[in-house]
Amino acid sequence: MAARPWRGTLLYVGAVAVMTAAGVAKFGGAAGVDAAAAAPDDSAASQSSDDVATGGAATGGAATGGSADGSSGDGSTASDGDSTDGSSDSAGDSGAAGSTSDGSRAASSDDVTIVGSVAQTRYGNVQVSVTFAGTKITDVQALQIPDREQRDVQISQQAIPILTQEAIESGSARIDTVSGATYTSEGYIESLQSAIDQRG
Amino acid sequence: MTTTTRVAEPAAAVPVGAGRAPAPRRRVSAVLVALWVGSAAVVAFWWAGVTVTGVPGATIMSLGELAGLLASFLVCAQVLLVARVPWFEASVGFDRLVAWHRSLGTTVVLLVVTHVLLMIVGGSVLDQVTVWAEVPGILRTQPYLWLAVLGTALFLLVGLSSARLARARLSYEWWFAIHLTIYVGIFLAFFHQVAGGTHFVSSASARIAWITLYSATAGAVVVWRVLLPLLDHGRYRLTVTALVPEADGLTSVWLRGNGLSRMAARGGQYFLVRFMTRGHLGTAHPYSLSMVPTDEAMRFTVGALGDHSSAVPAIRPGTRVQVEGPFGRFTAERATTHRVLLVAGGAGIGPVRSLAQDLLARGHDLVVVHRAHDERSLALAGEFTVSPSLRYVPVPGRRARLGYDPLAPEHLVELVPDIAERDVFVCGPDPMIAAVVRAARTLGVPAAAIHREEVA
Repeated sequence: MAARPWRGTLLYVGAVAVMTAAGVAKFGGAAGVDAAAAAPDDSAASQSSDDVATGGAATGGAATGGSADGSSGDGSTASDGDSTDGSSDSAGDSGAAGSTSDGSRAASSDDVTIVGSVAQTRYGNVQVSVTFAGTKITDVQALQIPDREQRDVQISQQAIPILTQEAIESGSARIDTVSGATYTSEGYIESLQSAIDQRG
Repeated sequence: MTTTTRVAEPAAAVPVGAGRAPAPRRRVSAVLVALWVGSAAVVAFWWAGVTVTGVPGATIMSLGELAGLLASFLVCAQVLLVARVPWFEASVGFDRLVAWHRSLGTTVVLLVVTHVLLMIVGGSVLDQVTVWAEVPGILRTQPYLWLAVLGTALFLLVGLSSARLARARLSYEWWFAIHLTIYVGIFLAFFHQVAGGTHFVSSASARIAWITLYSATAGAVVVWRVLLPLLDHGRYRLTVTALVPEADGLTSVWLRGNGLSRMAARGGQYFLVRFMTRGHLGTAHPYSLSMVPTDEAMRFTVGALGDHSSAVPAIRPGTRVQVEGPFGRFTAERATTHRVLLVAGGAGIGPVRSLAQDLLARGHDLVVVHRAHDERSLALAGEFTVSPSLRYVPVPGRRARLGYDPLAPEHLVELVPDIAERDVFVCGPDPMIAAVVRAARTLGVPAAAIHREEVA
């Protein structure tokens, strides 16, 4: 009946070795990404709906609140029912974004920037605007990211550049979620998909 | 009922044996392989769900998640190992399942601690706050984390109470009561996994797989550890009929019941026996059969070891008994050849007695070597009726008094000159088993032909 002494501890040591190996294999090449991810973070952090509003204006006045397809500007009664705006927290943010949100469409001859729907997550709203050249995605800007807590902001800031790169590379919303930022990723994908859907 | 049965006369048809039959191979690996494959699958699942962010804090947390996933998988495996699943019992044997359960217990507790530490440290690096500020932060934001904290406390409590040092000081009842709380601990820790774990929140199929794993484990426990034992208890209606002192320190407990042949118990096996009386209710002890059960009667021969075994003679006839089993692979099917040597020491004579009964019924040729401290301790000696198929060799006397170890190779070969051509079944205290195994190997018995059972 006697268990071999220390076998459990040895198994644990083995498990830690496997975990370390898996970690090195998975994250070992992450140093470069680390620097890359850190650089755009500041701009992403200061990214607000204002920036995008101007960006939108540059491509044809997206932020007017008027909408080509006739949905009301603030999105609370937007035709895409998954976005119910006016969540009590981050009211200012979503209000500001609301003026540009949901179904508003900016059109120009070459570049088109479309604002995706507001995706609500456990940690806050996520909304992106997508710039298309033809059918190709050339840029994705985050309008709203989860910002209730310092921690959320940080996670989002680290995840958004990765998600953006993935979106541009794949040209679609079929992208991987970022570990440790699952909620932000899912919100990002949802908003991105809605923008792509509007583009048609 | 108190009359002792004689070991059965040899069966008429004796397959007088040529060489050894190939040893029936143990399918040990099946359960172990399942464990390894499952663990590897968990790592693969983690691997597939991770995206590299390059953020140090997130990396640490991701490894913490892996530790948590492994702990969570292994704790299910651990519970399944002792859930009395008949397939596991048959392929591995109860004692080795328990040994693995114990070893994995250490692994699981350490992995849980690792998980907690990595999540806290990783989170604090990510938030750029102190570790102490991180803890209330995640408790506030993570779903069901408070329950998981309680669950973790129970894991630690159970782990510490099972450590070698604590087990030596803790009564079985207390240890068992504490051990039962692990079911609560597992339950409490489960919710934060599926509701808060990155890998599960993002994938419905992963969530379903995990919930299935846990439900199946719970189902196995309910069926094989609760429902079937209760059903058996009602069916067999076992009661104590007599207590017979056999020799110094050994007592036979006779039980009567109904339809016991359905248990399909074989000689050499043991049951977990619980006497339904004050002072014994909380404890189930492993007792070996000293007779192959009939349809109405079974007998255990119990040594005066530990608190409870010593109290067995005080149990009254009429006491209800609950048994779980049979367990053990110290059985006649294991014999690879016609001729067999049985070595019994102390209380080991019980299982050897019932095993001899089965072996003779299968037509084997037996030598029984019976070690004991002195002549008066040679319990059940009268039941080994010498016949052409059975030679009984009592070897009483302490080594100190004899001045030599009669089980050392040079003496054992005198007692059993043809030992190399025999299977060796040895049952007794651990040191004696070790001595016999060493001697048998020295004298040329293949490892596959040596079968052992510790009695404690």
